[in-house]
Formats: sequence, C-alpha cells, structure tokens
Amino acid sequence: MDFTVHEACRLLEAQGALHRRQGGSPDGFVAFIRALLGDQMPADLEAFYREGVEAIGDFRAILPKWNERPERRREGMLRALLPAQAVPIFSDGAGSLYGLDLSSGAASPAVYFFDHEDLFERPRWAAGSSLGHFLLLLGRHDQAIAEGCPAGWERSIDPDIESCPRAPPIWRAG
Amino acid sequence: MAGLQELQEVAHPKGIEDWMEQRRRDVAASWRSPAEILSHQRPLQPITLPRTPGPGAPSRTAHQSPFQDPELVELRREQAAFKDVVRAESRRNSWMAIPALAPIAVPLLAEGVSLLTGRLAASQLKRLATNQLTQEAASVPSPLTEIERNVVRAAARKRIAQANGTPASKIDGEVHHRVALRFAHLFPNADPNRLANLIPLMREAHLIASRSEADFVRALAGRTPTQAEIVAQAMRLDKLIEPYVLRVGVSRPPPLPRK
Repeated sequence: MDFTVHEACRLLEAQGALHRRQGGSPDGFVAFIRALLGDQMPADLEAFYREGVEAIGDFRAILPKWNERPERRREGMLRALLPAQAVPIFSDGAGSLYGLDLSSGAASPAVYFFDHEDLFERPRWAAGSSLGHFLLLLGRHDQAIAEGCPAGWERSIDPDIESCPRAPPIWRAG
Repeated sequence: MAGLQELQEVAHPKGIEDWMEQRRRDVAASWRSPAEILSHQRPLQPITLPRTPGPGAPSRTAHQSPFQDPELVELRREQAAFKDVVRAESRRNSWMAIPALAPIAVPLLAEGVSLLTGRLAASQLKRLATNQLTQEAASVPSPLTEIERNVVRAAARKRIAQANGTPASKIDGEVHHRVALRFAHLFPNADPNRLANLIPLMREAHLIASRSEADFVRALAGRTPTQAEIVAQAMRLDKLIEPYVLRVGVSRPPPLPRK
C-alpha cells in the first residue's frame, strides 16, 4: 500500500508522534528552499515542507532557519548532502542524516541513511522506498527496537524497501 | 793451666800432636785419585731404545721381537685366561648389580620419565597456546553491523535523555560518541553508550568532530588503531568541541567561528 506524505503525517499525528512547527508561511519557506536546492525539489519533498513537520518522536527534521526578513534566514544543514545528490530531511539524533534522493529525478524518490562517519559521502542503507513510507518507518523505529523486532521488520510497512537502487536495506548492509 | 792440661789429656789421652799425626795418616791411607775412583766404578750399561727401522735398516725379525720371549708369552696367556674368567664371573653375577644400583636407578628413571613427560607437556602447551592464539585472533570482535549501530544510537539518545532529564534534540543537540562506533569493537569490554563516552553536542560541532575523525582514519591508512591511539584522538577532539557541548540549564554556547 502506498502512503503519500500527507497520509503518513496524518497517521503519525494521530499517534501523537509528529510535531509541527508553529507559524510561518509555507509558500515563502518552500520558495526559499527551492532557491537553495537549485530547483531540485521532488513533489514529495515540497509536500513534506508544506506539512510543516518539525519532529517525529526524537528525530528532528532538518530545516533551514526561516525568517520573513531575508538577512535573518539561515540555510543550516540543508545542502550538506548535495555532493551525494540528496537532501537531508531528518537527523538520527547522533550526527547522521536521513536524506531524500535527488539522483533519480523521480517525484517520489527513496530515502537513504547517510552516516556522519563517512562524512555523508554515500548512502549506507535504504531507509524507505518513498518519503511517505519512510515517515511511517521513522515513527515506528524506536518502538521496534524496544520490542526487539527481528531484522527486516521494515518490510511489513514498506514492502518495496529492498528495491531501492542506491543502497540495500539495513539488514543487508553488513 | 794445670786444669787445661788435664782436660786435654781427658779428651786426647796421647796428646794433641799424636792425635793429629794419626789423623794425617788415616787420610793419606784413604785418599784415592780420581782415576782410581773411576776405575772402581761399575761401567755404565748402554740403554737400548726401541727404534722404528729406517728404510735401509733390516726389519725386525721374529726372533728379535720381545713378545717372543717364552716367559712373556706365557705371562700374556695367563693374563688373557684370567680376564676371560673375570668376564665370565661378572656376567654370571651381573644380577647382583640390580639391588645395588636400584637406589640410584629409581630416581634417575623417575627424572627421565618426568623429563619426557615435561617435554610432551611443553609441546602440548605450545600447541594449546597456538590454538588459543588462533582462537583469539578469530574471536577478535568484528565491527558493529549497521543494525547494531542503529540500536546503539537509539540507546544513546535514550541514555542522554535519561541523564539530562531531556532529550538532546530538545536542546538542538545530537549525541556524540567520543569513541566512534566504528571503533567500538576494539573496546570489547566497554559499553559504547557509557555516559563518559556520550556528549550532547551542537550539530555544527558534530560536523567538526566527524571531519577530525575522518582525518584520523585517513592517517591510519587502513591500519587498525590501538586503544591508546583512539583515546588520544578522542582527547584531542574534546579540546576542539568543548565550547560547543550542550548542557541543560546552561545558555547555548557561542556560535562557531566563521571560516
């Protein structure tokens, strides 16, 4: 079953796992990000920014510092993964990043994990076959570890995770 | 003077002159010339040494050999017969040596057995040590898998949240492992999430730490670092990132210097 970003956010919000940022104009914010990324903005990514997601559980979204006054805007980590053809969307809370793939040019690209020990040079493992699936997996992440779910539990939420082109899923990444 | 004459008469009753005359006659009677002495001496017997015959000399014949002396031959025969008898008696009585030598032989035998056993044991120990080394080499823990790292990172977030009363993400921070997870397997007896190894850090400072660690790994050129090297690197890094460590209740650290 496919999940759009909007559907995933609604589901996570209903579970109390999703936190949204307060205030601000989504149009101006999206335009600012589009300018930073050089018009490389997949439809899923724009939908994600329009949802105004700030955090899912302990995982905080990677967002630029937005201000109505242009001189007070800060890009933050938004372009940290551009050399690896990706846009960071979430931090793992320990220095590494989840990034949306830009190399495929698809409207709904896959999400990968980039390890800070590699200096974000390459994706380590696939974190979701689409942004909608990834958000659901992220919302279930800590609970699955706490419950000791077996390797590959992600398949029950994202059946296509093994077909991500740039990296294997975590249980096959070594 | 009368006393002196009496003494001389006692010692030499015929007078000193008579005594001296008598002495002179005795010496003259016993005196012999060197020639007379030599003539009275026994003539020296020539010493005959056995010589190896020269090329021109006639070889020793059988009748000239000293071993052909009948007495000597008889003596040699008797000696040989006696030796044979002694040898036969020794063989016949050799069993008597067993109780006599037993007190010495028993400890020697025991030592020999222990030496042999010791050598065998040493070789066994050597083999065992080699096996243990091989097993230890094989049992050197391999680096954490991606799944294990993922679990460790999640546990680190929870531990910092528990220790500080709030998650690091709430204070715009990330959890930094002083000893990076790529080296966690080199500290098999240490918990990678021990509080001494976890630091809540500004995200930008975490990038500095990541770059420094990448430089450290590059300098190793594929070599596995020692624990001391890893800890020394962590301590170097502590000095770099110390101003950007986040502490609950303390105002945010100053911004990072611009390049």
